[in-house]
Amino acid sequence: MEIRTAFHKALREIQDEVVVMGNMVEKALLRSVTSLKERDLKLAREVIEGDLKINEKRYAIEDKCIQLIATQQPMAGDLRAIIGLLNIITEIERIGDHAEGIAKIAVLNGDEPPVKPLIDIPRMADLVVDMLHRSLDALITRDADLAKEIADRDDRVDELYDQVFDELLELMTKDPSIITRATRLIWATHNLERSADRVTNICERIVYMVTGTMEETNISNY
Amino acid sequence: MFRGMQWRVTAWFMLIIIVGMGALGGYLTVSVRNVQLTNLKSDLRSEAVLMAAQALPYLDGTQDPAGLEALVKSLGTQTATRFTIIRRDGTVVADSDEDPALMSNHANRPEVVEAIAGGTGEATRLSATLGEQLIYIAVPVTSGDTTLGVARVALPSTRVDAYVGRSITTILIALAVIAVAVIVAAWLTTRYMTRPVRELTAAARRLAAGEFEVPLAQSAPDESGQLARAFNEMAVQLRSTVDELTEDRARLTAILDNMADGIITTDADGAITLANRAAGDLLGFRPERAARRPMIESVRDYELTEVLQRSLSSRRPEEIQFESSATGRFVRAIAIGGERSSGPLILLQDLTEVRALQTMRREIVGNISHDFRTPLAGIKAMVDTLQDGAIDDHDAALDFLTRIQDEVARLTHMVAELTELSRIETGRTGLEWSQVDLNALVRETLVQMAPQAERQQLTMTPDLAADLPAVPADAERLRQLIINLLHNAVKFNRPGGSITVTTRLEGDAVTLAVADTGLGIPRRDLPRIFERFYMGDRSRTGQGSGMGLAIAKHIVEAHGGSIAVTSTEGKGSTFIIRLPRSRPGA
Repeated sequence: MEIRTAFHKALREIQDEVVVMGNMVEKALLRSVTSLKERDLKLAREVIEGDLKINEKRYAIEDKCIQLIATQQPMAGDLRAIIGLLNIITEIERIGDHAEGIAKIAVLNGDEPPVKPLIDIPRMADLVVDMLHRSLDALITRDADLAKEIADRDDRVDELYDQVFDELLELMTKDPSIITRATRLIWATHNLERSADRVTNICERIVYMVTGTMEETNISNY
Repeated sequence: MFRGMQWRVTAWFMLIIIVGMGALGGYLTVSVRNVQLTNLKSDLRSEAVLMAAQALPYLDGTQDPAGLEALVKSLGTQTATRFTIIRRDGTVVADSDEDPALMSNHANRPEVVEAIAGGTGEATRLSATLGEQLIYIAVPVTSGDTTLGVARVALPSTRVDAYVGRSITTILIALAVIAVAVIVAAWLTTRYMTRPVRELTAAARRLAAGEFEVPLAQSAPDESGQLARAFNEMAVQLRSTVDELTEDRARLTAILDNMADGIITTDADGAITLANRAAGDLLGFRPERAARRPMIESVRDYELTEVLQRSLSSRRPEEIQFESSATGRFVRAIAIGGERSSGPLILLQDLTEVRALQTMRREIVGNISHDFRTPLAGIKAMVDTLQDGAIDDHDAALDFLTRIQDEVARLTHMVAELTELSRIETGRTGLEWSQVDLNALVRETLVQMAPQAERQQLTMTPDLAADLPAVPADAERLRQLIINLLHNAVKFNRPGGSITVTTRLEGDAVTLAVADTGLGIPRRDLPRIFERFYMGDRSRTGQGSGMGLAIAKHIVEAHGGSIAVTSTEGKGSTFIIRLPRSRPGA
């Protein structure tokens, strides 16, 4: 019994680290979009540098998971929980990379005026960050229903993606001189869309951790 | 149940009583037996003496010895006792149970030896004749000084035992009854004695559960009464202590909850022990749910977790400034090193306004210098041109001077607005209150703005409520406000568009709406247009100080009213002012 308690304490500590890492990525995403919107190069460079810390965090967590498996040899649900966390940090780290990608676009854009006011892109970022935040809520509370509900909100992000894509395409058709800058914005939007997909992956993992069954919650168009 | 004090006391009583009664029973058995035996023996001796007297005539020859046999047999049957008559030489003359002819010489039997010697012989042994344990008592049969023989009485010892046994049974029954009675008495007594202890236990349990109203009966004059009194005093003391603590806690909670700054206390593991309302609002978590959980699970902010970890390891105050991902507030967190038993205390300050103000100040400086530079550059260019010889061309010089005058007027106007704004913002302007007819004011201002509107081919339509009551206001400032709005409506309209000014009575307020058919305001600009020096991309291309709407907002708010805007890009904007019908604070 004592061993079980020690195991669950260690598991919870790792899970808390995962939540910390999740918040690091939440902030990275918000900051990357702010840097893009406000042409804040200093902030963009901070996000790019910050991604190193996120990657380090990921490896640190991975290491702890492996050590826990090696020393405690968990079975069934416990093993599923650790493997679940290992998968989740991979997804979170990739979202961090998407944030870095957006920040790099902000650096590329430099001080150039935007091709259009950035309204829908920050809105997309807010949606993705909210999804990520709540998916970690679902992880903490082991709430499979919440996880499924979050995954369903991916549609809203896809809608915004289509909207921005069409809008930018139209602008480019009208004025070919903005093609470079508009294409960069499409990249940024794509990064956000991919991030949302990765959140749905996280949600699927949480459902698996809780119920033991793998469910494809959302078939994305992209 | 059997571990109770009552049971233990009773058990001890039982042990003592059983041992005591056992010892008493043993003693009584032995002594009763002795007494009985002594009595029996003395009875037997009397019988033997009587027998000896009866046997004498037969032994001294006075009567026929043959009769003796019959006498002994008859007496033996009657008394259920064995009688034996023995001659001095040991030959048995008569025996109540046996044929004397068959019996051996009794001269060497110890009791017979003793009796012949002149005393009373006594012995207990197995009878060779009858084969059972017998008690023998023998006395001499004497005639004068001569001993003729011995009269012997015998009784089986089993009969003695049965006799003694009956007495002992009676004694033991009596003892058993007494023992049971004493044990029951002991049980009842201890039950009575331990009752105060049981009551105290129950009372202490209720007290522990927070029930302070548990007075114990304290009338008993003994130790239990003293204990009850002491307990009642303790309950009263405890109650007042708890009340004080509760009050202190409530006071502390009230202070914490009403603080503008956030407070989070943590334990040695970095889990939250307490968080106030401000902390929850600032970082977007529910303080009442945060207790005893790791920081990151409640306050989902890694930067706060970081500063906490730093402070936990350094044991020194640590500071961080960050933007909350949950609320977007900009926060300064100071973790103040914890004591040994607890973790750091985290103080949270909301720097959002401060930072916004700093940003705004930077923007203002940029805007002012930009806004002043343009007309100044124009003036400088025109002055340069005049110096370079244009002054001699009369018409051109006049044109330049007129334009210089316009630019100077614009600068003067900007300075005046700036002064006005700073005066309004610092609250140094008093309003000249009077009852103002808003409809009349609208008509006047429309007339005043007519030339400008005509230039842009705009139609201005008043739509005024007929029953509009006068409102308390500063007429001059209200005029300034309406002109301001009309000015914007003209400036941002499209040629050939229209402006509609509507007044309405709405409950305890009057509203004035200025609607144009212009370019509209982009949605992202809407929340900021009432800020000082905020200019949308479109107004930046034209003229303007960016102060008009800020001044408008301040004027309306000084009247206790509000200003709002609705706008559709490409279709136009509507500014709506609500003024209360009663003076604010009056």
